[in-house]
Amino acid sequence: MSSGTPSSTITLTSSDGVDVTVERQVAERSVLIKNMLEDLGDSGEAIPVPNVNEAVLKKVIEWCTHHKLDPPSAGDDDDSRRKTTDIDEWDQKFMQVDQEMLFEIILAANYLDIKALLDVGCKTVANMIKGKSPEEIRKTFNIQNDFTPEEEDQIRRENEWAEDR
Amino acid sequence: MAKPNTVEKDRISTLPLEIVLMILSYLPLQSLLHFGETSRTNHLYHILSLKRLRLAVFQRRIHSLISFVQAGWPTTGHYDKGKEIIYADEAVGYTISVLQPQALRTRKRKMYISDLEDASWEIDSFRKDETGLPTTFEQMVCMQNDILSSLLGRYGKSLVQLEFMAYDMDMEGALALATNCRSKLRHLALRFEHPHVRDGSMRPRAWLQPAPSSTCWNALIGIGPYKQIGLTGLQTLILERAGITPWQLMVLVRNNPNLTTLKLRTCTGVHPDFLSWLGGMSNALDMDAAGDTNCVAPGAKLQVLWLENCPNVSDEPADALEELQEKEDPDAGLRWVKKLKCLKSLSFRECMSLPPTHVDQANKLIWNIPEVILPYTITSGDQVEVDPELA
Repeated sequence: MSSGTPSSTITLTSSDGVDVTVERQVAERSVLIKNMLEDLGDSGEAIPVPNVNEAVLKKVIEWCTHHKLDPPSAGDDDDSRRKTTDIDEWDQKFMQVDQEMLFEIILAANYLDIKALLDVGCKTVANMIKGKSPEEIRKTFNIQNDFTPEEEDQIRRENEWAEDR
Repeated sequence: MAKPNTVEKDRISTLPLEIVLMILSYLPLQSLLHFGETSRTNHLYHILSLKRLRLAVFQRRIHSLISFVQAGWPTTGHYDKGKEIIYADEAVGYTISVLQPQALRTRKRKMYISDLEDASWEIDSFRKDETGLPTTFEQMVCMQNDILSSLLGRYGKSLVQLEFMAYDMDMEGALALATNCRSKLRHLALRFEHPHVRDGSMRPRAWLQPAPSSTCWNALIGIGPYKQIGLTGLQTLILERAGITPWQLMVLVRNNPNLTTLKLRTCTGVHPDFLSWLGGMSNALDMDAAGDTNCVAPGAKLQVLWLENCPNVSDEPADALEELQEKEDPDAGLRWVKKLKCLKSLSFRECMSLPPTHVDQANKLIWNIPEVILPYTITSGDQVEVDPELA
């Protein structure tokens, strides 16, 4: 099994111990797994993904499957990245999940080193912040306001210049 | 969109900092500020997220927009989403006609702020106090620097790139820069222009002289009473119409050993003494330096050096230079250039005292710099071009 050409599927084991079989090309959207396969060779053994549970792993694989033919990202560094928050339609639908899943996907994409998925996740969160008042942002993400009323007032006054359109 | 209001705990606070910063990097300025108002931690995050700022403070929208265009900044509606414009090298394809005259009609004094992500940001800070309108040049400069200072007070420590456009620098602005930005700031552009360059009845050319010198630059270079402050981490320095003296400029460059791009337009500091020092030819300016001038030139790391509209590039008059050129002394008056071994781009645009043929010959015969921009176009019949292959 382990000899000859690399097998077309590999097995990933989620943090909750579930084995998930996935096309090798799909799994290689993850730079972490790609590097692992290159370093360890194709032993045919399941690859543990200790930080990602089954539900999230399946979701990530769903994304990778849809995007398996995408050209690899250009590896742009932070400075040259263009700051548009446009997300393609399929990705938008894909990201229509509850916040817990959304943040789990972001963390998994970060851990597995899937830059394009991480970008989509971050853009989704950014779009949830955009155009909202501070109070609305707090509500959306359940952020605890730990400013004193005086501090809050002062910051609001300091930011007044940006409120005038 | 993900559904809001379905979680009990604050998930953003559980994310690693680099992911939070990535999320914030997608926000326009106003949303970023709102996010910063939500909690103490998020306030800190929003400060850390603001790394690049372009600030233009002028009385009228049209002035800001013209300045944006001149600097090659993207203007409203003409923003190229495909690439990030960090510094404009040339006047790019934006035309002044895109600037709407509506702002002129309203005659309302406004200021404009722009960050890299937003096309431009309108500030109408005078709305509350119409009587506090700055009327004199000094009041306007004071207000411009006041705004710079308050923004730097908050964001200065996280900024890596700052561009500031105003009429001039004053001590408040310089101190804010020198205390808040010290070693972290990598790219600084200070573009000043004369207040009458747009408004006055005189032709703009009349105002293309450097600003008067000022002690405020001493704060920026950390000397005298300002020894503990000053900028030291710059890689790019752009000064336009700055009243910095040759000595102040020398110290500023000396204090920033990683400087690779130096663009100076209409600056008093561009003087043969400064340039000789830059090329390691003379220590006349730098009293602290050791006597030998054979070591590596202070400007040896520079890759881009633009000296534009500076009349004192050479202490030899133009006709003397032409004469020397005929006597086969091609780099007379500009000998410091050959010591700047890393130069890839050198500009003498609008330095009218330099004959372009002299510069061109010196580059062909001695410097071999890939890009040399001549003081003005050579109009004679013989075609002269700088060959980029010579590098």
